[in-house]
Amino acid sequence: MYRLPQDFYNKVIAGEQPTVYIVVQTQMGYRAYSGKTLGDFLDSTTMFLDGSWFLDGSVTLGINDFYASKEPLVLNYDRLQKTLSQKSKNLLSGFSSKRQNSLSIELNNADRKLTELMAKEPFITRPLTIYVGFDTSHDALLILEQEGFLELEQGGLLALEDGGLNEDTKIYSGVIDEINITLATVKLTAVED
Amino acid sequence: MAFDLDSTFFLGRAGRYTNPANTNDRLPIVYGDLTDGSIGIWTLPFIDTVNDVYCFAGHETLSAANGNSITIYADNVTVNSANYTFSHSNTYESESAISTITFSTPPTENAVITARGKGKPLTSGSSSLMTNVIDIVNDVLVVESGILVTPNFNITTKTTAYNNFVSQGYTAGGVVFEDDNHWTIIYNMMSSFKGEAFVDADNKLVLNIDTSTLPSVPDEILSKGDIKFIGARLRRDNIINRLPSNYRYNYVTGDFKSHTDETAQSDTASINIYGTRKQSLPHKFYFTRDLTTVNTVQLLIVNSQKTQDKVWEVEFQDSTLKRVHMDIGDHIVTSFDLLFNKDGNPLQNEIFRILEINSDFNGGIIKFRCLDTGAFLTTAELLDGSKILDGSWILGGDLDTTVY
Repeated sequence: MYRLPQDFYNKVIAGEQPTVYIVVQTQMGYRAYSGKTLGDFLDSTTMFLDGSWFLDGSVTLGINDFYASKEPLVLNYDRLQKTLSQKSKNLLSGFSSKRQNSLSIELNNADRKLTELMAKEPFITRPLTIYVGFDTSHDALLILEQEGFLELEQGGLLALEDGGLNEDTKIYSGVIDEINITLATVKLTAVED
Repeated sequence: MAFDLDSTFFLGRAGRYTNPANTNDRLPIVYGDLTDGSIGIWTLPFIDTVNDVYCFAGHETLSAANGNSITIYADNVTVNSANYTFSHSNTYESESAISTITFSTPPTENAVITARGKGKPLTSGSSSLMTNVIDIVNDVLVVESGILVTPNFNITTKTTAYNNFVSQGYTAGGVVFEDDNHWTIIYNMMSSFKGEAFVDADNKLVLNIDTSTLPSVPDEILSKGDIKFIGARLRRDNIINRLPSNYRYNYVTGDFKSHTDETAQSDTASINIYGTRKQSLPHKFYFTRDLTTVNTVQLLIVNSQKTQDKVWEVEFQDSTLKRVHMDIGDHIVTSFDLLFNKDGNPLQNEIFRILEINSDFNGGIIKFRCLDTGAFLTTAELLDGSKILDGSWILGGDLDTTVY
């Protein structure tokens, strides 16, 4: 069972649409990708590599919660299937064998920026995590802050945990095991750790 | 002569002699120096229960006078050499020459007799041991099995492989102790030295010992306009920066007696980038018995697979049929705008090695699957004083940016 924050549950009940996004942790930091523009989602994280930071010794790349990029490049998520006992085998086989979970995500590479990036900043063997969250949280919290109803820390968003907001639900965590490139896409296949 | 290496090689049987203990006992073929360790490395079949004769090897071996050092064990206990006689070449019962151990003092009944010693000489009566794996593969296929004759080999690659084996300082040693598929026997031998074997387009057996040296001239340069990119694949399992290895196989116990996994044969820079990447099981060196050879091969494998730019598999198709002469193992040069090197530049005049070819002659299409070597064509500058070595270019290492 996943740990669901109360806020997450409330928004689902209210009919809000969650945002699914993936986070790849490279040596440079975190790179977030989703199917739609994340807007100012994740903007108030501790550090964003937008040219406003100086490497003057006060921060360490790759250790602090750096977001190197967030882009709406996801074209397709393969179905994530988890099982205790495979359909084709009997129930007892689940006690002696295990099917490793894997998941593929297809990203848009029409402008070739992703392949150019991966040549210098390897994605293979790096951790990949999928989160589900709500990108309206930030807007709502900011409005409340402006209206004086709420005093927020760090600009209104909570600290990062493994690259995602800790109010979001981590659905899957693995390492990138295979990368496939076609004319316009990059497919990342992750397997569980 | 047509041949089928997918067939089984059957060893000689003890049943050809009059009084064997078991007619189905296989007569082993022993190559190289198998004197390492302190227990018997292979089992000797009991070929004559009346006269207490055991088969040391199913062929002539190096004689004691030429340096063969024999140790015999009965149920893992060393037998006094005074209790037996070693014959390196014995046409026992008028059958083909084998190597025998004849006991003057019979061992305990039903004792398992095992041995350490040296195997086949280079030629009959020679004082040199056969330790080059190319000679050994040739011997198994031509002399012992008879499935091939000399013209069935690609002589050029065979000679190159032989010389590479020598220049790398390798030594081979092992036993063919059971019936097996010819390809399996070849692979077990060649894989111990980062070698490969396949049949080329001329139906010749190609043997390669990889030294990670690229050919000075590629086999073909493909222009971008002739090819269509299909896809590229990078797999985590193909990145290797540490190679735990097992060697010194023991044919009696069925396991390897030595293991090595030293940091000297790993790559720290790659480990820092990708984490420690090993195979799921230790690499098996079936035909290697010395640590020096193992270490050399470990470094070769790690250096050729430690970074992602050396393990990309790229697929493309050629619809011109101009490359119908290309074969697996050939090196080609081509460019892809979609793929980039670690400097952030598109791959230009990159050298690939062909892994697979799929030809659709109906449609006039040939599909290639190639492995990126991480190398590229370089310029060759004339040292005529026209260029200054000012640090802006690399002598002998600059990318050749010619559009072919």
